[in-house]
Amino acid sequence: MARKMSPSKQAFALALCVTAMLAVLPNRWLQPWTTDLAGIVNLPLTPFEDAGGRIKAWLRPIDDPIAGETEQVQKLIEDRDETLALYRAAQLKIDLLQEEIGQLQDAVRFHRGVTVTPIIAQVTGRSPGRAGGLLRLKAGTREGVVPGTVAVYRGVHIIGRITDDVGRLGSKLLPMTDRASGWVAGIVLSADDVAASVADAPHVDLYPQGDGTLTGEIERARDVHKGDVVQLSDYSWPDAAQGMMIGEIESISTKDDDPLRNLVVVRPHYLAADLNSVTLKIEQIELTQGGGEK
Amino acid sequence: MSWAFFAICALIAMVFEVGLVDTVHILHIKPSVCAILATFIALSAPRITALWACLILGLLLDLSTDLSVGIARTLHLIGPHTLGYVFACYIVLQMRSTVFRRRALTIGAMTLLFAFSAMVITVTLYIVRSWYPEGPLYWAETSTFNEIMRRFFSAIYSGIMGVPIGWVLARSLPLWQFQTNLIRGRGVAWR
Repeated sequence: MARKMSPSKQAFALALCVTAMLAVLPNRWLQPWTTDLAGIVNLPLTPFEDAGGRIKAWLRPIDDPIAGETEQVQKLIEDRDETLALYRAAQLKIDLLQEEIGQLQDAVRFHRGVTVTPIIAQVTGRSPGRAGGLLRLKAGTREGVVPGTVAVYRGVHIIGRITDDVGRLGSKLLPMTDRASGWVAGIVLSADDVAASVADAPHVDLYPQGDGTLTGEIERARDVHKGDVVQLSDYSWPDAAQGMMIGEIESISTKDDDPLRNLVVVRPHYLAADLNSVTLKIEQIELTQGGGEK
Repeated sequence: MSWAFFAICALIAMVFEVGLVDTVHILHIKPSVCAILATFIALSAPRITALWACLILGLLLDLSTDLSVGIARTLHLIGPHTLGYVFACYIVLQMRSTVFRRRALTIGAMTLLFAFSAMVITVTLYIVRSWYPEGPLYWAETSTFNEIMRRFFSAIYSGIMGVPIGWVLARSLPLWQFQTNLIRGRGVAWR
């Protein structure tokens, strides 16, 4: 006579069948409730993740090229980079408006009625078992974080964007170098010629390779060199990100199947996987008395 | 088994898995503390208890793994790690009667086997899910082959780290209160 399974084994068999079924369900059936369930499960981990992140920052600080400088020099470098980025963002906006409506705007702080509040967000965790992937940040809707908020480091170096998974206390950051981030458009500028006009700068569409670099194609006739910087010029990104640094050209090679175009490899100065904190640029749209945007 | 002590150890393992393990990464290859804990339980606990514990650990890992679907959309898949851990536990359960279960080296070696077995199921499910027509599932940083190799080396790293961590876990054996069918003695064995 066959032995009857114990209740514990029956329950395990049922749990296994349910799990196997869930493993093959379509994404749209899983997405709403598994995110909520993950939030509940990860809630008890959050305070420990924060402490763990601080311990990790102490044990393994990031390799920052300007960390060895004095605080005053670091501040000067950050201010210089931020001013350059704002200047180039303003130039891009001016060119766009001149082309669209033929008008000039203020070029110093050009956010089209949008002011930006930066907040520091601690990186509290990453997906286990993955080399990169989404980062968990200790900042959420309570601080004004919304899906699409831009994350930068040292003021101007783009790290990525916040995903749609934003809670009250935490959010998820999709690094720009993650393949899920998709295409990003930029302009190539010489690192030495800070007064170079963005109107003549070559444009390049970059795609993340997943190994910390982005690659794109550029016409061979354009004058680009190794070491040139690539700055964001992509209006699918928020206004606060325009003109920010994507990275530096690491190598240029000729495309075998199209000799008239070069393949450029761009490497960001800072990778999301190495960081312990990022700066989120929270946009606050200013309304006029009539209710429209300024 | 003391499920309260298991909960505490699972919490510690998850904190390490999500955050602190980055401190010891080598070229983005990280050990899995959860795999070491699951291996120890698979070696020491009664069969059904070990399977339940591994299912729970795998489920926690699934709910902690943020996957990108398309641009800026996140998804938590239940199944890859859960089924992977259950499968790996089953493999260890078949082999545990042939090894010295309380030795740190055994825990390390079996962790390598556990992590590799779990990886096979996890990667297979991710590959199958990436074929779904709803949109690409970004589970690998670069190519599938590179990701499999990275996870393979992570399994080896987990096996190496399993030796010192397994030594600590072996010392904590009385706290786990594993039930056995035989009276404790020199030749303790679990079926």
